[in-house]
Amino acid sequence: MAILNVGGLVKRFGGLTAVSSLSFSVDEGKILGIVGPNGSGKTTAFNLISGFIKPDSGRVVLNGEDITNLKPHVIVRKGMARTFQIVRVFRHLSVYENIKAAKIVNVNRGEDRDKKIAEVVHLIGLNGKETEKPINLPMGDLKRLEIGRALATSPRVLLLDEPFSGMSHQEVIGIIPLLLDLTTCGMAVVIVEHVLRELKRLAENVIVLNFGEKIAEGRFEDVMNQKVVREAYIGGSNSA
Amino acid sequence: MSARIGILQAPLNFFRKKTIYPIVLLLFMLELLFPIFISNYWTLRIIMFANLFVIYATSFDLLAGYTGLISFGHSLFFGGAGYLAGLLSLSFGLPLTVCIITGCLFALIVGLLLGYICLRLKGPYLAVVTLICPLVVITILYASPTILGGENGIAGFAQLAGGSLIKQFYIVLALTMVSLLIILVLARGNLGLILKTIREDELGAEAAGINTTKYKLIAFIVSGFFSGVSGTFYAHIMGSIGPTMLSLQYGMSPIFMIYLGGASSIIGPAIGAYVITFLDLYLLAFPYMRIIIYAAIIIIFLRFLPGGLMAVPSEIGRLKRWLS
Repeated sequence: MAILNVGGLVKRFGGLTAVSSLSFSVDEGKILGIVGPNGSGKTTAFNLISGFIKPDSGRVVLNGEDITNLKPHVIVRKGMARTFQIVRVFRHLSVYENIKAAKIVNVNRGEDRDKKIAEVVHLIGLNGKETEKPINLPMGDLKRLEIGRALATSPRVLLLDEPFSGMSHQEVIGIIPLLLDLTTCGMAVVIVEHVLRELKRLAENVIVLNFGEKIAEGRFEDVMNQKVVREAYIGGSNSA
Repeated sequence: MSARIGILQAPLNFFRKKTIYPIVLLLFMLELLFPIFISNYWTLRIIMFANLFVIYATSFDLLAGYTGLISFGHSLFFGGAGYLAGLLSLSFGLPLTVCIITGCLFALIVGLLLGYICLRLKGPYLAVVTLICPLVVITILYASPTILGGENGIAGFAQLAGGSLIKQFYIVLALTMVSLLIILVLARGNLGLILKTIREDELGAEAAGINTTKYKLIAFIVSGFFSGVSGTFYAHIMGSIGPTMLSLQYGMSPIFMIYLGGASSIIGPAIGAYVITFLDLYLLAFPYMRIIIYAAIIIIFLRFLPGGLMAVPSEIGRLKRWLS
């Protein structure tokens, strides 16, 4: 069952159409990859879905509820959290405080807040680093922390914007089981990523964007073998 | 070596934990004895004003230190509330309590309005808007000599406790203790943490589900209210008020206090308020040098000790480690 439905999203910046009639859906417990060359509109699509930018037209439906044009913090409370391409953790607050800040405003009725924070810290593998400040952490831990902050909001859909960027191969290998674990409890994950080799291990289905338009959709191997996708990545007959 | 560092770290850890509340209470208990041991009228009066500036500076710390919204026009709350309270007392003969409560509520409403205006402003834009607001009010005051007293301000309204210094001292002491404890509880609790996330990264805070608009307004309202508290009491102790209370001098004072003491710590600005108030006393003889000295102090602190006086123990610890 689809938990997130995106229908006909359009965003123009002056004469440039950054996202053009983007439609897709994600099922509970599934991982969807969004790929495409630089400037293809992947991050803009994330910003539109998560409420950081208002779309010119189109709809975003989360769990049957229209969340188009809602503010980002409201969308988070409806059950969709996100991370950023360039990590936006609270750099002068401790790991614990980063998670706690998200939990304070997203605590569910009857939930033990401190227990939940401890669970999230354990899940993201930052046990023992609760008092560390992000300014002292490596990129891998920062990415984990940002994911942890998103998880503290108890999301049903998680949007990850380039979770592997800036990470070493070891760090990437280390974070994959965490992302796979999330889907086992029914969470839907949408990942924008450039590192296709690792995305292949995570996402069953992908969509490919180019110049703001969806040019392909389907199983990872099938999509990557399509001519239009190869042309978008390495340049085809239409590219000068 | 580690034991030595431990000893140096101890004061910091001590301040960080909840032990700060009994310490604050103990210091105020000690101040209860001041009127017994200090016979000098002016010393007691300066301590009383220092306490009022503790409220002013710590409330400003919630906005500037915690939320990262640096306002250059906080005198709008301080002076505006004082003016309204004075006017109500002088023109309508209202009871002092009513005047003070109305002045404080006025500051709260101004905080809401200014907060709303400044919601989308940051950095220099916020600084310019907040700087202009009290200047506009000063211009209005100058233009209304009959109603608002013009450049001379208004005088002769009811004084707190009938002008009795000892009573005023104890009232202000109780007020400061209650206000400081409330601000400490707010700043060290969930509200303080949420305000810090806005300072750190507003988009990140929104992504964490935090309604940044709501919490920025709360910061303006709480900060404005407590600044209004200090302003109304200041006015009713003086029994007079002039446009100076809205001037840049009073707008800059809390900035000096929080950066001298250590922003985003509440206790630091409280210490800064005491230091600046007493320093002001000694610099009265050098009115033209005052601002230069303050500017020099702030530049030195921001450059070499950005954590203010509160960071001194950790800086000494770092120096010791470096030397060893």
